[in-house]
Amino acid sequence: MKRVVPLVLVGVPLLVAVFGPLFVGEASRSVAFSTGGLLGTDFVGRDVLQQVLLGGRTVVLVALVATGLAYALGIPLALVAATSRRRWVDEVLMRPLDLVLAVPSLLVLVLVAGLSSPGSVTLVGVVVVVLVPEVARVVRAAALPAASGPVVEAMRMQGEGWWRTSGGYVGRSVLPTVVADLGVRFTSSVYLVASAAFLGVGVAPDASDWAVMVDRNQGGSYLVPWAVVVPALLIVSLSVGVNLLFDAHSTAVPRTLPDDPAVTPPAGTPIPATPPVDNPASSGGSRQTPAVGSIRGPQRTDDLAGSGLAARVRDLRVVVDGRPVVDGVSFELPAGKVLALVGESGSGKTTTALALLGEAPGDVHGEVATAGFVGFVPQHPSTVLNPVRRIGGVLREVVRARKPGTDPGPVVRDVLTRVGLDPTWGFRRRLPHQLSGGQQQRLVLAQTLIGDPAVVIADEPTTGQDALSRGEVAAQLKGLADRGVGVLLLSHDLDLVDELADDVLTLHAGVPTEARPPEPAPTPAPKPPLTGPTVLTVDGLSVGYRGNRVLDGVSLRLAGDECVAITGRSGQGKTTLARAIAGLHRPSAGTITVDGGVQYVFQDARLSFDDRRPVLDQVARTAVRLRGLSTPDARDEAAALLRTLGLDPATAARRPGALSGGELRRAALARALLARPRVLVCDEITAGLDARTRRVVLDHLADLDLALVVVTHDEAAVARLADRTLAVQEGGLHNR
Amino acid sequence: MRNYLGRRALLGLAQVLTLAVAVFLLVEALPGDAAVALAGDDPDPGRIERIRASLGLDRPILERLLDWLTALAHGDLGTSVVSGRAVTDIIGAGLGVTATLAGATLVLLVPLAVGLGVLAARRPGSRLDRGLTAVFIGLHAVPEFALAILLVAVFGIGLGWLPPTAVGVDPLLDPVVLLLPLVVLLARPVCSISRLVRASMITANGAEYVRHAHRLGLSGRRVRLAHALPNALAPAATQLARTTDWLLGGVVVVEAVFVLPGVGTVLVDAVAARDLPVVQGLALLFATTTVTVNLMADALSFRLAPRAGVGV
Repeated sequence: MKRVVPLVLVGVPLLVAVFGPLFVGEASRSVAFSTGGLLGTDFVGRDVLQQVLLGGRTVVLVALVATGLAYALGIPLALVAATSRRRWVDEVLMRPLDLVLAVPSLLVLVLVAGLSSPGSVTLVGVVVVVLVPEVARVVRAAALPAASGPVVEAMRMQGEGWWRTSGGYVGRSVLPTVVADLGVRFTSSVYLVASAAFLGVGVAPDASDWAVMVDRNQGGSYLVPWAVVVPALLIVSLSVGVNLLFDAHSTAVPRTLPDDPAVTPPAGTPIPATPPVDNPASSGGSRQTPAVGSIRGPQRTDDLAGSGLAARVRDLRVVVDGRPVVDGVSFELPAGKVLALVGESGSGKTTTALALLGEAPGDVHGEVATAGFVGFVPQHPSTVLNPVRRIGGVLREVVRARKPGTDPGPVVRDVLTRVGLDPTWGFRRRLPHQLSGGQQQRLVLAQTLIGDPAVVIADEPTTGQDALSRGEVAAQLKGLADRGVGVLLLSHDLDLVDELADDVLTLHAGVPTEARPPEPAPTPAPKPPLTGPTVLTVDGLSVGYRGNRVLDGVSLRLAGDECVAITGRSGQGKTTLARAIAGLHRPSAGTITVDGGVQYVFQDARLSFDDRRPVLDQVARTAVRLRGLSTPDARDEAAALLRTLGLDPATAARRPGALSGGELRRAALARALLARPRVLVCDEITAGLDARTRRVVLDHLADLDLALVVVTHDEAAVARLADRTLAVQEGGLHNR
Repeated sequence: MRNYLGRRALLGLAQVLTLAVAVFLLVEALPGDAAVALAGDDPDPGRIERIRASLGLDRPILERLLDWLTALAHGDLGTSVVSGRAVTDIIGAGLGVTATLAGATLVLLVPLAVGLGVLAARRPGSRLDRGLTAVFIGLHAVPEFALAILLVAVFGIGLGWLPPTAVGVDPLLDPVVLLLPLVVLLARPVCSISRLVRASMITANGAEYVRHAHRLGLSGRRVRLAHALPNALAPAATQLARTTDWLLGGVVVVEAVFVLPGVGTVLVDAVAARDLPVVQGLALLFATTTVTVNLMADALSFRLAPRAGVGV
């Protein structure tokens, strides 16, 4: 049924347009607007039925040709504009198109059509002029994220040329957009052709054309209504049908993807996953993550009343897609204590925490009880802060919702002070993006504190934070526990766990284990200072983004087998320095001289891989492009290198989606190393890696015979690798 | 923010000026000129030459362009070469009807479109959502003139409820003739904006910050309207600006169908008569309107999507 309606709507006018002329028969003329014949006669006395049969060709043909031409011109234009590294190319190509877009399209129609004699060619030209800027704009917008993204940067570092990066990768990444856009564009093409013809643009005044018929026969619509209604209906049917048809196609694309496993509603027997009462949005949604409504926390809080417990979990088992993600987890969290959940990535820590919130995916079995509201401070606080809402307004809203009747002002100021944020009006007026990462984290904590939580879950609260902020986070969590809140700490950071936790629960593959995860290897004695030939010279380097100077006059020299660690607080310009050394960021002043090749390992490895090609192929390309190896040789070498990094080549032969973050990190390292660079720049290479993988990576890096620049917060990595440590601070580089 | 808007305003001014010059040159390139049109049934070359000289059309094109720009700076758009009336008067006469139509459409458009979009997004995939979405998609593709003709055929001629055209009525005194035009003008923009609002509402409803707002204990209604909706409006605001473009185009068509004496009718007549000053004046008006609306939309998106930053 769904398919039939659009097909009929498109089919009827299309058949009339294509085959109609065959059935016209002999042209006859009689009196204007008479009712003779099946549909009467038109304004000059021609038979309306004959005109209907003849009048569809222009619309269909002109619209098809014009759409095709618009894509043929618009896509290459947009790709060149989006991928050019010279800004003026983009400007020169896109500005004139913007100008056309700034003019109402019918004005363009009226003006351009006046230039030449009426005819199909004019009509095509007019429609193309209107469509090309739209196509170019849509495609360019779709291409920009890919064109300036880490995948293209990584491919450039591998020495790939324009065709592979821009034509290949970027071109393919805009394909879904183009397909989705096709219907819209063809519809607007039909719309433009018909409207233009109706206004008498680009067609002869007595042409056999549906739109012209509508215009010309309007005067007789009391006498011969069919003379306008039939052609109008055919045009409506064609454009509506085309739009429905293409829309069904473009929405069918995401529907074929496997559904998010999180969609299956929780079905465990005694599990208190509260049904989303006041949130109808989640119940009918097919692609939404559910259970957002279980905000009151798990039920049966009475059980814990007077027990001194903040939360209790018994025999928790969570099954997603038939596979247990958490199996047999039990714990008790007393009020005022800190319980740490530790374990490698994927060990089930987050799922356990979600079960406490009543948001665990899949089938949940077992018992979860809490003594009240559960607050959640996620790993990336920026994702849970509404980007367009001022922070003070949201805090007041939470007070009104959780404590009806109280004056929100004092509560908000009090809670901000408690988490160490500025309670003044100026600060409360800020938007989340005007806060640092640490401030955002404290803000989320403040929001949850308004609800007087019994339990606060902190997910990796120290990830990516420097030593100073780490200390502040630890103090915050300690303070929470002192006020009687049960704190559930999820962390890789064993130092933090040792410092804070009253009790530790270790998970391995969803199952509790006795053993603690392996400690990082003991730090070896510092290496003697090295004095080789200089391979990297940075001299007076300044880098800025849009007038903000991030680095100012930085100088650095690096010997052939030296390792320098770059540290510093977030936002001080570490990554900018690393990227500038790798040639990914153009300096505004100063020079960078590298004796030999330089390679860069991206902070987020996953984002730097093309998710449509096997990882191994992508890694091997480096050796093909930069060292001239044949593809099989390059692949063998890549496989061997991956194996030494502890990554099975069979795993690497899959696409990035099938690999974990740690595996991709190692693949990214291998991709850089295959170039045999003299200088290697690694950005946060150990962040988020579990202890075992981290050791493998650090060992490998330590054995390399090249100049190494390591940007990191990880003190253990610094101790293991660095010959000297420099800190980026206020745009300068300082010895530490 | 002020810096950003200042720069955008300058850019807009440059756009309007470039456009004015481009239109001048384009109209100049049209085959035939006002002199030929004025000569009418008596196309005697000598007579055409005389008319041309009297209109100043025989002077070099650059000179005339400069004259026109100088006059423009003084707020003078020149006089019609056909009727001899001031261009500002001619446009002003049509502006009342067009502005009423466009204004009423915009006032109704925003609440209607946002409301329908939010409604459809409440339960994605429900019968209501599917029905609304099918209407959005279908109606959006219908050209204004075809919809107008069909509405006239049904309500004007078939049922006789509403006047089929505005012939012989002053639309500003008898606004019932504006009812069908209004429906026609609203149809496409409502569909396109509702669809956008729906799509971005569904995205926003699934966002982490919405889930977080639920966790904090805010009511479902509040979360939807105060947390999800503001994030869903940025794309719609941009689309609203594009709508003004359609509105101006649609106005031309609708005025032709319903025989309304608005700016669109003035434009079509002026192009047919090669009345250069009038066409230029209208082009300038349309360009200024479009650029202004785009500027407002940019300012709004800037507030609604603060992270996108300046100059994107």
